[in-house]
Amino acid sequence: MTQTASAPRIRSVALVGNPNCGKTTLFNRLTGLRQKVGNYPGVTVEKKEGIIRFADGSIAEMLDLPGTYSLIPHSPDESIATDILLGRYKNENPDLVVCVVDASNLERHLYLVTQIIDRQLPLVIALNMVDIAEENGVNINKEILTKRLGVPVVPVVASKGIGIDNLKRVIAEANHPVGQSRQWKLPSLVDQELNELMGLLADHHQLSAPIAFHESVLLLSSGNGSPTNGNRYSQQVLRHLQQDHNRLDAAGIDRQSVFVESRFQLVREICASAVEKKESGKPTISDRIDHFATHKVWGFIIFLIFMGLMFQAMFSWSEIPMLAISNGFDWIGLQVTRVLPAGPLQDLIVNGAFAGVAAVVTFLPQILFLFFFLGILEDTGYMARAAFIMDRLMGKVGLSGKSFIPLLSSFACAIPGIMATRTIDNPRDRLVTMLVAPLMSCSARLPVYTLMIAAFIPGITLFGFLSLAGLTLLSMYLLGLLAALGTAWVFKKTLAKGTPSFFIMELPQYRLPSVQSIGRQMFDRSWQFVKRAGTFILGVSIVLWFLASYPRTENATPAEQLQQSFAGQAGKIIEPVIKPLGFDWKIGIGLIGSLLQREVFVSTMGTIYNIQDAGDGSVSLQQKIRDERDPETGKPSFTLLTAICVMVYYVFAMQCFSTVAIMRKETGGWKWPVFQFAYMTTLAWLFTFGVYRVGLLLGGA
Amino acid sequence: MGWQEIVALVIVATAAILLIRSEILSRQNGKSVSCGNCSCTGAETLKSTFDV
Amino acid sequence: MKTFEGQSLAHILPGQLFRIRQLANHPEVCTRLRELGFCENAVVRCITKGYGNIICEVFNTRFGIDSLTASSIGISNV
Repeated sequence: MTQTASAPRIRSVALVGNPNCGKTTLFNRLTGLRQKVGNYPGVTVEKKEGIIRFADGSIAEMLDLPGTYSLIPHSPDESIATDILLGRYKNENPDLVVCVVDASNLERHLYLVTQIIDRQLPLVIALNMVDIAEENGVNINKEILTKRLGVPVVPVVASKGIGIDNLKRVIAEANHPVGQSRQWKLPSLVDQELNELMGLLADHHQLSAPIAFHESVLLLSSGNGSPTNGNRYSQQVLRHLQQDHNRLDAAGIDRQSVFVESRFQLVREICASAVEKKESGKPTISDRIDHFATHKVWGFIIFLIFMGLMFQAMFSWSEIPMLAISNGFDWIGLQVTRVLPAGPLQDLIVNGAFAGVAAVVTFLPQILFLFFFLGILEDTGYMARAAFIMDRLMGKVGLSGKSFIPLLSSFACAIPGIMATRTIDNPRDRLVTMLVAPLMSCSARLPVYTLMIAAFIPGITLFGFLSLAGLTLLSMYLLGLLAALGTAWVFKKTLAKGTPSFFIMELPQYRLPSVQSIGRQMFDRSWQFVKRAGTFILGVSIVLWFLASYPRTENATPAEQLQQSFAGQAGKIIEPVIKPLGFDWKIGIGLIGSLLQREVFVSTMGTIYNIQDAGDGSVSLQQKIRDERDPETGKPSFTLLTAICVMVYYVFAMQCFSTVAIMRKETGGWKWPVFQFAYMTTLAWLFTFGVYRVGLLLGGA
Repeated sequence: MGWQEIVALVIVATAAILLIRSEILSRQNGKSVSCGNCSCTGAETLKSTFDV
Repeated sequence: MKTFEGQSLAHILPGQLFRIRQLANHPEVCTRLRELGFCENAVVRCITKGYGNIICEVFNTRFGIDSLTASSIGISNV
């Protein structure tokens, strides 16, 4: 029953497909945008919007939807895609659906295609990765496929930009066909019951034929008795459904499998006629890599080596560029002091604005290295293997391997990490993963750790290649990971009791990381970082300079002036709370300043130590912190123990308003973000207190 | 109060106003979920997703 | 979670090919498994086993699957 849509000009195009089939790569090609791509299922967890421009100058809105295996969603990200396809979002249907299909894996991907055809929406198939399919000995006859499905099929290679213009041309055409629905053959009794139920649903609930069909399939394949969403249906529909169930069960028909099996039977028939495949029988490269990468011993060792290398690189390799940036800022500061005579304005520029911004921007090379390694993880296909390796460990704390990808993403930032939990189907597992994700050390903590490590950890090399500084950094990240796992275990035993959900995850083929993709991600993120330093951090540093310099005290030394300033007074107010942690009022200023953003701690330290030392640009911030003396006792204010305590505090403390905001949005209220802020701050205080007391006992003072 | 101090205080006041203004605007536009450290743009997030 | 009492996917060794015969799990889990390709009569190949979980291939797609879920998938020789 082929029909044609009547809309002469399309306004909205929805891009759908199975997870990891290249939707976002194609979206970027079609719209010219640069949304994040990666080689693991679940990179896109929200609807992305863009504009597609056609050759005649007209435009249409394009939606990139999260991947879904079927129109029956199992997790929040899949619901976003299925709700749009089922017309539940704003009660609107997209004018055209472009379904991206992996040509090297047609049999599995056509399952969703047949569902969308049954939904009777105008459809175009983008047959992606035809190059890989050909390399694998898979040849697809496009004409036969087009004829069997009743919709246009356009071969493309999104990653190389091949076939994009042709796809655009096909999208721009008017009157797209909706395909031949219900080609799959059901046993006659099932077919009869399905038609009856469809008619009843259409009459009683005013559903369109495709939606009534979709709901009838769901109802007939549901368990015995009332379906879980039974209160949506009239009594007559429910009574009829019960009779249907009884009749089908009496006939010995497996209601749960009959629909899926029939659909797959159709898919097999289509593939048999349209696909030619030469089986090589040899193990593929992915087979060989997986033999080691997911091995019960080697798998874990490879994972640890990768993480170890990442932290070594972040600390050791970034040393020279960091020094260059720092020297560059010092030089600029020196030029300002030459041009501008000494006075409050020079003080503001050199010791306020410059010192604050420089303290943060210096860490740019480390941020770049972090995103380089995370990019490799995401782009090669190893990310999903890491989740597989970790499933057993995650099971011990009551979660499944699916929770590991959001946690690993949180190394970059907790916000994408929390959003990535949308791929978790079990709501309790999702909540717990969201609650513990900010304990993973994000990139904003990196400047804090590095400053403390550079100031107090000796530059010793162990076994000839492992630097103690790199190991300290690694241990902070491990502490965050252990804290996340430990709290997850507690939450799963108390707040969100329940068995872990089943773990099943698609493992993509390995591929060489794309230099362009990783480079672009590194550029985007470093640009965001620099932009932030040039706007928010600069503003905060200027305001902090004022708070640390006023009210002015006549004839006071810079140190006394700082102590009597607004910032000094604020630090003194919270000093009783933080004194048991070994922190003085200056660290207190840093803690208050960094409540919204963790890295503000470093810019705050840069500003207040520069003000105190009247802008002695020849000495680094690390050196200034090391040389700091308690005016009363003459002893160092900052010791190795203090540095460790600061790092431990930042491992646990929430100190990020953006995370609070995303938690509110994802959980739909203030309860969980408030709980999260409270538990993390409490943990931070308790753990730092414990470390400080133990350190004192061991003679750390 | 010398000219340097006057200019410095004007800069401080401007920075404070701009900070407060950008925070208010970002709340109104729903940009509050952007952390600035990565490419997750809060505006996109709130505009494009519906409650799940 | 129910487990399959006969030969199940959890027992197969790397390189072996089997046909899926029956799923014995919660209905929603069964639906998901079927939609991923683990439906009755599908041929499944074990790639590797590690940490109690297995990696297998069905419809040319590779999946990591936990041992408990694998034990709910009944199989027989091809």
